[in-house]
Amino acid sequence: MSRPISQQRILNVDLTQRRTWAEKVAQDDLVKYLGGRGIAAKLLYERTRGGVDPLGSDNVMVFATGALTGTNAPSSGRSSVTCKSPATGLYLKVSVGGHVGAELRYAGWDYVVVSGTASGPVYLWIDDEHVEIRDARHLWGRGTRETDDLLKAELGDEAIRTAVIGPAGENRVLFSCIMVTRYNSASRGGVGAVMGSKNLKAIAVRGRGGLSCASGKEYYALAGQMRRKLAADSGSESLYNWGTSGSIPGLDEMGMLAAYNFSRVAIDHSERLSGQYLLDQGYLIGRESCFGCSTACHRYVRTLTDEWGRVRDAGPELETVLSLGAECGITDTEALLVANRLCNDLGMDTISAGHVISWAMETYERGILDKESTDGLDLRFGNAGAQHTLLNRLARREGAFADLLANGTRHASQEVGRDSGTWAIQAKGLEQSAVDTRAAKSYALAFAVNPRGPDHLMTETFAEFGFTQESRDVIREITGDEAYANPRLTEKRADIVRWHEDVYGASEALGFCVFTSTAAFAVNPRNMAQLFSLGMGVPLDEKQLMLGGRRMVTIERCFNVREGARRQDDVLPWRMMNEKVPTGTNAGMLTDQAMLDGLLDQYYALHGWDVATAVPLRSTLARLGLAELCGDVALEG
Amino acid sequence: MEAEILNLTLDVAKCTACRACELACSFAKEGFFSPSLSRIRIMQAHEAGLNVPIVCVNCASAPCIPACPTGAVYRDRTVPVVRIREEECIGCGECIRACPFGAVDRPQCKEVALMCDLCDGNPACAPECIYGALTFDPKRQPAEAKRWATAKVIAARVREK
Amino acid sequence: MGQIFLRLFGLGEGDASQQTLTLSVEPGTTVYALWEGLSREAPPGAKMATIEPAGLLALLNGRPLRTQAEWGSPVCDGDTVVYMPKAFGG
Repeated sequence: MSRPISQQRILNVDLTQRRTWAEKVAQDDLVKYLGGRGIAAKLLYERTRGGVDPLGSDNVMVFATGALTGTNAPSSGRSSVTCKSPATGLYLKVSVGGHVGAELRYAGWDYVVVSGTASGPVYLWIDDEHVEIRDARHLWGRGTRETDDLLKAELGDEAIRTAVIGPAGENRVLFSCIMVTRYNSASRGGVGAVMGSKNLKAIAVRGRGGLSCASGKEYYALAGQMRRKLAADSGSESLYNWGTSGSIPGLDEMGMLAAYNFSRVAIDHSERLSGQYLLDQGYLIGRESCFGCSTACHRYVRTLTDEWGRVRDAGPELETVLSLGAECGITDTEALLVANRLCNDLGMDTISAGHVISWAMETYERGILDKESTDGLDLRFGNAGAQHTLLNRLARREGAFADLLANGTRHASQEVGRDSGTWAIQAKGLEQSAVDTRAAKSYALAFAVNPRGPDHLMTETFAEFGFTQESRDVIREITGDEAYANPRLTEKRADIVRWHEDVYGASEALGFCVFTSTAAFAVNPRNMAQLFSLGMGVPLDEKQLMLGGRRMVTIERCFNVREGARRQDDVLPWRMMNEKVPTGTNAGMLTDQAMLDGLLDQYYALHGWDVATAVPLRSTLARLGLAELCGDVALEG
Repeated sequence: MEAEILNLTLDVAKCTACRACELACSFAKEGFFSPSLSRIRIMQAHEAGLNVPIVCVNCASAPCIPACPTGAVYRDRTVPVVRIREEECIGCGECIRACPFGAVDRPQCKEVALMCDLCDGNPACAPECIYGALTFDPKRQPAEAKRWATAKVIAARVREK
Repeated sequence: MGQIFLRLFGLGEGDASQQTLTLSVEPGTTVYALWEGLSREAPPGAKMATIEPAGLLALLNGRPLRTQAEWGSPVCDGDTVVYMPKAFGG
């Protein structure tokens, strides 16, 4: 009926042999790597070798739940999908909320490790202990919403939770995603394409079991306290009221609103992209939570007119209103909601899809692309109709132009040439989140060293803005002085990034949404360690927790070293390094190579990695207990 | 004045499907976390974008009571609440068939039917609902509260003229 | 008296929450005092009456003011002041 959360289990799935088998996680590993993102890092490193084809049989996908997922720990329902990325050829961990993680845990599984390739389209059906690989030929080609509905009908159970790919994943679009229980998405780096390359259309789960904690009553009480503290945070309230796009007015005021492919930092009528507007104008019809979360930042919206089509769907998030909205020169709310819906249903990451199109728009405006080369599309900024058509074509790689763009801006700009790489807002092959890394130096460093590419979802250093007393307290704790809570400074950035890496890692190992520990601070290393101890019945202190975070970040770096990545790959998009912020309060700012080098020197030294190459030193790995796992890539020293 | 029928108050528009109530209930009743054993269940109606809590509402003419062959299902006037005496429940499922809402159930691993009993008047779930979708006020008369609220609005408007 | 431009996000009702208002203020009025005045004049129960400055982000000519000391900055003729609830996203 219930199992102790300290006894973790892996479901191994070999799609080539169509075989599944169970495996236990050693308790020592649980304490060392904490769970979730940490165990996933260890598993991926062990079960792949350098140079595997990300879209081939030897790539491995690790679906990982948080170590505390499914308990009353607040906002601890987050899970992750980890594999090698087909967009970057590097480490890829993608986080996702929703309800699949909890369902998997109740079914008796903490990780699902998928290897091999099925001979034809299949889906995985996990019904408590009973696991089946079933034919999915009738589902192939269908959108994500339809697939979820059909699976529920076929399995005769409306309560199943699903993770599905759409046509984009099937067609191996390098920014295709996995849609999870309708309101959530495992988005970046082409994770959907990896699933598609394995012919795995969906994972459906039903879990009827339970989870028990070693010191149940104390656990319940502490988790309840943390939940109430989180709910009292004014940031939580803002997220509930307006969602993540509630930040739009602030970004606009601060001259940090990425627009027109990041060639500008402001756009007229930006309020039409805001969460406040969604609420005031009647677009918002619901607020959704991930499992166990008391913030409910997710939105459910509808269009009010038929102008672009009538939709009701989940989203849009902040990054989406920027990438599909302002970056493409679009502020028409109706058009944006339809574009978001298209990405949801086709199964595409909105950040990359938006930036691929904004790159194409800039290239078109510059006269390098024309209607002939775009297969008939007028790709001027602001053309929402063309954007929608292109989104549909991208998912199916329809036409030579869409087929090219479906490989991301790095490939597309290399093909097109004419310096178009200088306005591809990408690095390592991943499009950057719409945060102005010229104007926020911790972000700049974190983005440059992020193993999956330049975005905020491996490590977000929100505290460097110092908007709240709690965030200033965190900066003081890290650096000794709250005056360092200033995004323009370059001093102490490495310390700030490293603390956030460790906390982010630990949060994602335990299943916590990082909003709770790095935007609000109701969840912190101390209470995370306490909760882990009470839940597992194994003592873990704050220092050990942070070390766990450090370990997974180090494994991720070692994976990339094994793939051939070095210091020179830790860069920002060309525009962020070469073109100054054009207007607003940050006008003139830049994170050029010299500045980045200074930040990287600080960072690698702090980590105990070779400063010239960014390769971890043997002594560092030994100190972290990673010599056996990752020793093959270490540099002497 | 105590209410004759005591209930959790459900505000569907506010439910975000966080399922903290399911966790609280299963923990309070079973000592571990298991939504399948929760006496309150959140149903996600995706098309409408709404989440609907389903829980026993202590009907005045509760069909589960006459349906029960052993008398295990009864109205406990001390709380007050309709509940199940587990020692007398044979797990036949008649109450489950009788309940029009699906609020009574017998999960696979249980021998007896489960139904919300308001935790004897101090429900574990309501304090966990941050959104106010689930509230519990033992003295509340919902119709009377609405009469007062409406009256005040009308009175204020009449005064303005 | 000086004239300033005031913007309130997510604090007014409906469209008003997106407009720019012009306001006359005494020279030397601090950002904090300006907020206090607006809050006092708001109808009871309105968001503006109940929200604490700790839950607000203030911007003076686009520059975020975070600490109490910064909220003590004086507003001058022609300045733009923005108040909005703290929000974060990603």
